[in-house]
Amino acid sequence: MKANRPALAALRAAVNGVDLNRFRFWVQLASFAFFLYGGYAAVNLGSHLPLFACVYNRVGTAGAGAGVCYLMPLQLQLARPWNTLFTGASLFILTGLGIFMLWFLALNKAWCGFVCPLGTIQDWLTALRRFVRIRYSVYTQSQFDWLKKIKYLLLALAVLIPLGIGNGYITRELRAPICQICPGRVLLPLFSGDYSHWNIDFTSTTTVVMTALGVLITGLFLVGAFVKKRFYCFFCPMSAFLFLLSKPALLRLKKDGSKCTRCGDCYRVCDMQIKAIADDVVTADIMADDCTLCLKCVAACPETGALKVKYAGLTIFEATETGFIKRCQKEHCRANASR
Amino acid sequence: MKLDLFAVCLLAALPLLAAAQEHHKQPKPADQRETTPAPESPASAPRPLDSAPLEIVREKAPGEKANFQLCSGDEVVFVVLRRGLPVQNARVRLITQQGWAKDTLTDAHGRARFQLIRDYFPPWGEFNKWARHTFLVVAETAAPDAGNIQDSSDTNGPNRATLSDSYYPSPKDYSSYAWGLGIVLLVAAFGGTSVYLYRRRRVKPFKEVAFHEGQ
Amino acid sequence: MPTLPAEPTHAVTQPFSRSRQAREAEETLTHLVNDFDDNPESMDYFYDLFRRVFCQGESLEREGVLVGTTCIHAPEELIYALGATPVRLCNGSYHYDQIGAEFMPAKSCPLVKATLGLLQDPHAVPRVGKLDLIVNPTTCDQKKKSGALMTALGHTVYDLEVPPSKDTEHSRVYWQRSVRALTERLCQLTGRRLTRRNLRAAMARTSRAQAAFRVLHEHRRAAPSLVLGKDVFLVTNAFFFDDIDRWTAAVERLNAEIAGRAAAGFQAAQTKAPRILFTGSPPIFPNLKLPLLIEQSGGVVVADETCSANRMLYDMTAVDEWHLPDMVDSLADKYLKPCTCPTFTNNEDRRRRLLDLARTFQVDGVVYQVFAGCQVYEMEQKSVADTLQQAGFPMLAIETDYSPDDLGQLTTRIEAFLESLKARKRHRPT
Repeated sequence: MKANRPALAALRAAVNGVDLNRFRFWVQLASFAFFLYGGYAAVNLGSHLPLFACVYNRVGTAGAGAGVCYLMPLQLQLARPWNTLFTGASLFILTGLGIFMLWFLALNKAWCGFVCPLGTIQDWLTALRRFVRIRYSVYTQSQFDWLKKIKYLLLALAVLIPLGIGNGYITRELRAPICQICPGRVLLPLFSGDYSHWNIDFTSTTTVVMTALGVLITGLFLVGAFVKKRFYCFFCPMSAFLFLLSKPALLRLKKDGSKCTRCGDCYRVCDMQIKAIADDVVTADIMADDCTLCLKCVAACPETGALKVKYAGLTIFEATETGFIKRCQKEHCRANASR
Repeated sequence: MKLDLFAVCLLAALPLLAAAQEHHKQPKPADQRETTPAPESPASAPRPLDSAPLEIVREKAPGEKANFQLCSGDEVVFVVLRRGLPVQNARVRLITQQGWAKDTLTDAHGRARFQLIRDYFPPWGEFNKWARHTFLVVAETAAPDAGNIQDSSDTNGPNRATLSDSYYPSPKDYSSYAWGLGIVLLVAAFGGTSVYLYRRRRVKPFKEVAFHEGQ
Repeated sequence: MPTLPAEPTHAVTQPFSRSRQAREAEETLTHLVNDFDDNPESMDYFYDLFRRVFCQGESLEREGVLVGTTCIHAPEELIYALGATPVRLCNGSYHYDQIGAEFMPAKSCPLVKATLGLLQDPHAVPRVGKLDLIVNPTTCDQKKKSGALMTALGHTVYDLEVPPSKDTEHSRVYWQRSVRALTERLCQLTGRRLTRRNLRAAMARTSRAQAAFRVLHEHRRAAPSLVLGKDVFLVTNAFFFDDIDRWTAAVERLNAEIAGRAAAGFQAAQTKAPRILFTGSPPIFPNLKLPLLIEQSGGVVVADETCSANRMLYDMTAVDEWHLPDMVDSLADKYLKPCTCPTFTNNEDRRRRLLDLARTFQVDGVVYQVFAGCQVYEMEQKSVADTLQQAGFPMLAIETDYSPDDLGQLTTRIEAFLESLKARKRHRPT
């Protein structure tokens, strides 16, 4: 087929040889501007977005960003009594979830790797660390294995606590608990000049604890994201939520184990330290629960066809030997230029 | 490397720029504001209004928006108007729900300025940040004025008017920015130091365990 | 320690080119060049190089520190970064094999024997000069023990500790630590510091060489073949001792010529020539006995999985952050994780690689060479044979060593194997 369509082959070669990290930087920057300042252009994509575009990022009473993160509506909507939850009165929860899934399925977890503002902030903190030439931290495999369970716990709390509130077991002050502890609530309004979310609210024990937790987690976020690449994504309840829904997604990361030499280049560049991407040569759908689909692994793979990015079955980006060599040589040229 | 530098600049610059812009929009504190009010547009300038013999109007706070709430500690300005025109030297009294009262006189532009006191002191566990209290403003003018009621001339026009409104506890009483910032900085410093010490410890030479028995 | 008998005095005055060792090399080279028509012009550089170095004993001495390596596990980038030159000492000369036999048990790996034979010769050929250090990775038993013998011969040896398994986390960390310790030793040796700049420059040189090799590797996919295996083995063998930048330039010229040949519709071998995947103990010049035999008998070696060719140059390093800790660890990972050396506990990666090569290069059969005395390759033979045969690739296992005595027997076996492959192709529609 390639012999008959040289233009298509040339396009494919150009895409497969692209400098992915630069491309991703610009996409992240554009998304950041859009989801934090899009409101100024009167864009509102609704409140079912699969990324941390915080509702507290406001200009006056209107949202400053182009939409709102779905976790807040979800938690507020789930705060209903058990007996109304399964009736027609709660149908809007399902429609909300449906709209959310439609948004999500378009890009799968690439929302995390390319669009999410919190992810972008972490990548910028990583850029700061790289700039001052400090080495990054890694988890040992055993630490990795038990820490990755935390995000599922947080997701469970995001669902259980609102249900508890709705049924009167838990105080209303805990409504939207994930939002209260989320570093997005504390950090994202900063970009509209709103520092009020750094305050500790002393009205009751609950508010003190929750605001203190929020601010504490933000401190951990800042230090963690500085020393470890994409620190927060490892604990993100949205990441867990998205992974659980990711089966029917259109954008997929596929691996052909027979072509893999287990060289581990993909593992070396992976921000989330996913070992399975290098070592698992059996599974075809290689996107792990931590994966942010940043596609650095595909860019770092020197074996043609071992890793592929498919959209609705069509391969849009794959690892190629020539692409790898081109990027590798660009790195070396960049080194020579920066001397 | 260049992109890294750009990213770092964005990370630092954006919040600062946004904060500077917000700060610029905030109203100045009362003591820094000028005593004369800003020139009003022709539409809202005081003009004769026969249907309103005596009234008190709360002046809009600078930068006030639709969801405005009065809080303890806020400065509130009332204008006393007789037939739409400001009244000077009218006695204005503000009385809170608990009975605290303050008197003042209106100035040449009919404005009386008060600072709402804080009089909500529940036990800490019962503090409700949405606790709403009302206050009453009473304005009395010195001399009665000839007026018309139902087409008969009335030499005794009203010389007292009232206005009630509500206020909430001030966020400054229960919300602390210092604490929040303090915790973030503490956690960041602690976390940063721990990582640093851990990394330093890794390169120390391996210590042998020595046994001393019956030396 | 057994000592060598004194050399007869007339041997000292005889020029190297007349020695038995040189004649051995001359013979192989003659077969390599003359038994085949239409050798690529760019190969003249390599033929000439081997003639000068192995047949005429030309000096290859370079300035600076010289570090000998006995295995592809030794990271060459580190050596280049510190301003030293690496030289692969693995030797293929029967002459040295016989001499080295004095030091080792009767049935041992001829490669290790030949290396020892090389190291006892003060005027060893290839004439790279005096070695300042030998980095000896502890891979197979015989290599591991030969370190002490090298020290006894008067060389300075550094044992680079390679883990026996590469699957676990701790083996990976162990190897990263070994590489870092090696870096320290090399810094001590050269008196220089490893910096981001010099390591990156060294990695640029090796990655250029690896890229050139990959292009050559891709060219071998062509059916009918554009280049013969004997030439590719010679090219990769030259990497052992040739100047890396000159070597890369020569390979790039060769690639360009092959590409030109492809455009012109040239074939280096017959269309029906059986395509062979060569695996096992590494063929090193002048012991290119088996690959030569295969191609003289009408086959063509289109792919190989040996540490003197494909494995030495195939895997490329990816670095996430160009700071020293990340760069050195990435290098370490590249040398360990994809390595299909039989000295590791598990050979899943090797079998998968062989299958992938066999399928991608459309091979008809596999030739598995085992040196007599090589325990590890011999022990993997069965699992590799089973895997390949299940996938439909016939395999011929050959145990041999450096001596030319079994040439006749080998010729018969190989010719028979190639015939059976041809017959198989005829009866099976492709």
